Amino acid sequence: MTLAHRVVYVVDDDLSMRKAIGRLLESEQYAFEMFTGAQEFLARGPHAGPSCVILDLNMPELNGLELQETLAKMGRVERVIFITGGASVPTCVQAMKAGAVDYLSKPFRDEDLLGAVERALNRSSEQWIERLQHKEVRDRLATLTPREFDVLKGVIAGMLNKQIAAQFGTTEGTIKVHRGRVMEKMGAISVPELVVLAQRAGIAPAS
Amino acid sequence: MPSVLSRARPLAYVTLFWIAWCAAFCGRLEAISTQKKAVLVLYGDRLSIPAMKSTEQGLMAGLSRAPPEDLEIFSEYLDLGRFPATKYGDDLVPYLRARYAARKPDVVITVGSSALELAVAHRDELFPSAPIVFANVDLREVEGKEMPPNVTGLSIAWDYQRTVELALQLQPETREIVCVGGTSIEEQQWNNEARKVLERFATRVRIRWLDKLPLQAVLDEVAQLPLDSAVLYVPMRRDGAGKSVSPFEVAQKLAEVSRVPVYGLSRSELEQGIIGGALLDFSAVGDKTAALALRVLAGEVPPALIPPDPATNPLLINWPALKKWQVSEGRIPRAATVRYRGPGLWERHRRLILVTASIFSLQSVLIVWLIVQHSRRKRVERSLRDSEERMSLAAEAANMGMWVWDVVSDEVWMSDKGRSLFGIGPETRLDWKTLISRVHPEDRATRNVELRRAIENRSEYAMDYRVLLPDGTLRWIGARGHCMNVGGNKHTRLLGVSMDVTAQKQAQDALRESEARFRDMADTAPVMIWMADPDKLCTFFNKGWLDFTGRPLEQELGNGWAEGVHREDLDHCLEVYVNSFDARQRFTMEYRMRRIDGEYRWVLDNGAPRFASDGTFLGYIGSCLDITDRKQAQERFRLAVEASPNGIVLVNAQGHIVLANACVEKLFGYRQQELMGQAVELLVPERFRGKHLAHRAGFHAAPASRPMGAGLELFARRKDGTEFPVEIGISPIQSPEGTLVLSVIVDITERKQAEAEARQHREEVAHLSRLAIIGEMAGSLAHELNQPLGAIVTNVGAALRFLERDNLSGEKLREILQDIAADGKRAGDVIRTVKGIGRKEAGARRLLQLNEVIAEVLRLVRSDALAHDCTVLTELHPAPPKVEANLVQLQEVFLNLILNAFEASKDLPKVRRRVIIRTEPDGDSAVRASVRDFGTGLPADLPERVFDRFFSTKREGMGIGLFIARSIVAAHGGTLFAENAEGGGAQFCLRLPVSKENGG
Repeated sequence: MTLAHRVVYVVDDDLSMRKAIGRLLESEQYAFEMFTGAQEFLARGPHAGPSCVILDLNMPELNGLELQETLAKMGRVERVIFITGGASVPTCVQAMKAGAVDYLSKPFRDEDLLGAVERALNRSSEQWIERLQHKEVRDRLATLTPREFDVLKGVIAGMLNKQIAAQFGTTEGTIKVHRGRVMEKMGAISVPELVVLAQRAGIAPAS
Repeated sequence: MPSVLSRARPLAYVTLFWIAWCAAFCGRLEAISTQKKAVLVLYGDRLSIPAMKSTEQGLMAGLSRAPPEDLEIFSEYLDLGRFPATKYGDDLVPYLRARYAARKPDVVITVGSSALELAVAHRDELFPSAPIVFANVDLREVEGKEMPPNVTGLSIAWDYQRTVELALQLQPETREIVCVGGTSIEEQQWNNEARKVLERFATRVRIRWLDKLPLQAVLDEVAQLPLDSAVLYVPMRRDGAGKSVSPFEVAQKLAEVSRVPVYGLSRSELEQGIIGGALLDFSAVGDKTAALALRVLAGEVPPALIPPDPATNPLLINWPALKKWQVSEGRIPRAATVRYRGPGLWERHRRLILVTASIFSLQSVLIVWLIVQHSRRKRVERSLRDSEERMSLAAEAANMGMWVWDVVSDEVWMSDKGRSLFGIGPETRLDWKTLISRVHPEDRATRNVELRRAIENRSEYAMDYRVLLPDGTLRWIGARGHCMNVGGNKHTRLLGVSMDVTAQKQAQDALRESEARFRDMADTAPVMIWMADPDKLCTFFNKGWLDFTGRPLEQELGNGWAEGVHREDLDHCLEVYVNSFDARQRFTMEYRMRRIDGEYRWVLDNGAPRFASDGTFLGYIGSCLDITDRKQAQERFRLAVEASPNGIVLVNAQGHIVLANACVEKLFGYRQQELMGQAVELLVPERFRGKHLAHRAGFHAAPASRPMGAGLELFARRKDGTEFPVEIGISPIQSPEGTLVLSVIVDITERKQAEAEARQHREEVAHLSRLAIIGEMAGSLAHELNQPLGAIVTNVGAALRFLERDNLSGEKLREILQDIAADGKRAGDVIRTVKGIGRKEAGARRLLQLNEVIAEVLRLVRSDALAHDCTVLTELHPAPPKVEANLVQLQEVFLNLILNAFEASKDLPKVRRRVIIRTEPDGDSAVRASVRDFGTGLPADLPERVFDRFFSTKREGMGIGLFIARSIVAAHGGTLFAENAEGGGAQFCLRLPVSKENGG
């Protein structure tokens, strides 16, 4: 399982600031893209990999907070770092509540911004990994027959083969064969591993 | 059976009983007291009414015919006209009953119908046994009515019939009788009666009625009547216009204006100048009534109703009026009585005539004798001539012409003087025709009648007539003579003297005219005028006076006027009056006099003695003015002046102080008395006195109200030499003493202090507002400043990181350094604009009225307005709804707008240096204020640019005032916008939401 490369987006209407942030990211060899305003950024479309946005709070048209809200509505997962010329407590609180990674007042120390970028990208990466694992389990579950899915639910509920056979009105031997196939299809070596996979896929044990 | 009697029948028995009882009782009384008959007279009105007064006089005269020891007379003046029995009877009747319980009247005389009604209605309670004799009851009221028993009386009525007969007798040539009458209900009844009576004369004369016209129209009409008419005056109390008038005055006016005789019906009108009539005489009525009462007392039972006695309406003729209208005396009927026969030629020249006549009659006897004996006694011719000469001499000396007319032979002898009077030469033969041809045609008939009468009656001949001389001159001749019979009827002769009385006639006319003019003038004058004879008794009051007091002339005459003078003022008034009279000096005094409505009014009475041309003292004439209003105004002026919180000084044309109020005492430290008569410069500091004198002269040259020393700071000087700043308004006042200058002096020490404080306050506010600007700026500037700073820091951080990795090319370094330098410069620019700016806390908001905020600000900018010489006009809504706002911030907004407006007006001509501030509600939920100047206005393309940060047209301006103002207004939920006003200049409009707490 490999992740796509990481990208940092910079949205600031101030050219000078944009350039400076770009240089800083370049010095630490981050991949980045720069935008002069919110609309331009939204037009770019989502990146299929870990990413974060450095957003100037005070911008014409859509300001930083509004852009953050728009992104959330669109279901995009870019982590947001706010930078602002004049910090105010209410906007800061609002930004953090909406899930911002950090809120930096200009002028900020370069390590603060870079630290925030790193944190944001890491969080983004974890999110991507989790999303990918979830997708794999669901792919494997899709290969199970209905009888095998029922057996899986019985196994993760901690039922013995004999108990499962009695429930379905069949022989213990048959169940044993199904169980072997489930373990094989899900790629699980032990029952505890199977339980973790099932949980990650959100499957409830049989009652 | 008539109802009154049927009801009275049982009463009659009661009455009989009472009479019997009273007789017994009185019989007993007789033993202990003198047996006098009690007569009770009940007068229906008050005595001051002329009819009552006359009746009373007649009654008393009539009753006095009985022996005084026989009668005891009681009089009660009930005044029922003003206190009607219907209202006050319940009090009056018990009063009368109590009063006459012990002294039962033997006869009751009532005067007037109201008294009769009362007496009859309450007879049983009051004096059941006494017979009632009534007087002054109109025939119409009692005619055809049944009287209760034991009631009798004399009715009265106007005698139209005999009056008209008299008129036709005096003026046989009359062709029209013009009747004047009033419009009240009673007067209409009179007029109707008169119409009925006058119908009987319709075959002889035309009857015309003037009973629907206003008085003035009647008078105008009467003044133009043809000479062959007569006027009959039926008393008038209300004229055709519905106006109340005095019937006596109407009679007087009619007599004054009429060209033809005016006949009346009432005795009292005779004095007003009417010619006469069958005049109802109340004193005669009284007299007849008294006689009737005495008959009743004597036991007679007269008829219940005695019709009007002609004796109560005697035929009376006014002698002066007869003369005035030139009605021949010879036509006066024997039944008529002539009154006021004034002094005639005889009375005026009695001595002269006596002397002349005695000489003349002596001589005339001789002459007559000589003439009669002419043929036989030639020998005495000589002596006759002598005596004729002597006689002529005497007559010449007396300026008289003598004549003898032999009636039978129609020969006339006349002395030369006599001939010259008629303009007849000495040679012309004289006879009746010759002489009559010289007599004025209008006087011929009268003269003939008079002559004939004298001849028929063998009596005196006296008349004045006009002669027309050949040259057209009119001459008045006064002729007196008498008829003599010498030797039987054959020698009837008329002997007489004639003299020229033209001058006297003219003088009489002039006098009459001047009297009429005086009366007219006096009556139309807007003052009250009085006249008094040398005996101090007043003889005349004009209409103005009578209208004022509301009393009839009769009451005011003599000393009657003094009744109207206020009790507190009477002593002083009489003292001045009497002393001035005795010293024959003019006087002026003030006293209070009762007006018709009962209010005492202050009058100013000016009296002056009158002297004849020969210096004889004739009495006094005076005029009174109602000065109550003036006095009140004076008093109010004095109170207002004294109570004024400002100093008030009145200065005359010479610059002397004539009045200073209490406040001046306080301001200057002088006592009021010290200031009187002093030059007003006393109050001016020495260094200004010279200029003040010049200014004062200038003010007198063109007096007009204005503030003193406009534009200058004025100072006044106290008694102790200290000075204080003042503001002075001066106004000219025209007074009898010339132009006075009223100065109002306001001590403005406190105001000056307040102004200084206000200026300081304004500076503080300005400073605070500057701090407020910074507070606002700090937020917006931080962004501006942090932007370049952030970029610099970030660029430096990036450069260091490149260096660490040894990855920094020279090219890249230069780029970074260039960016850092640019951002540094940018930060510097921002910082320069915020130099010297502090921070200000935002204040609390409260309910404010924009007018108050503006007023406060206007106080702050007063000196700025002066400095810019700019006029501030306000058009403030009286009560704009309140807004919830921060006072200092709103002040800052208005201060900004107004100072901007001043700034915009700076280079304009004076007339355009105006700033208009207006407030008005804007719909229900907002209030609007605007500040408008007349400057060059806003940039036409972008008026809103003025609100941009750092936009300024002022050289010194920072360009953030309007920006801040707008943000303040926005923070209050309002809007501030700018536009170019119609007619030039900029207008800034502020719109603020109205507070919900305005209430209702």
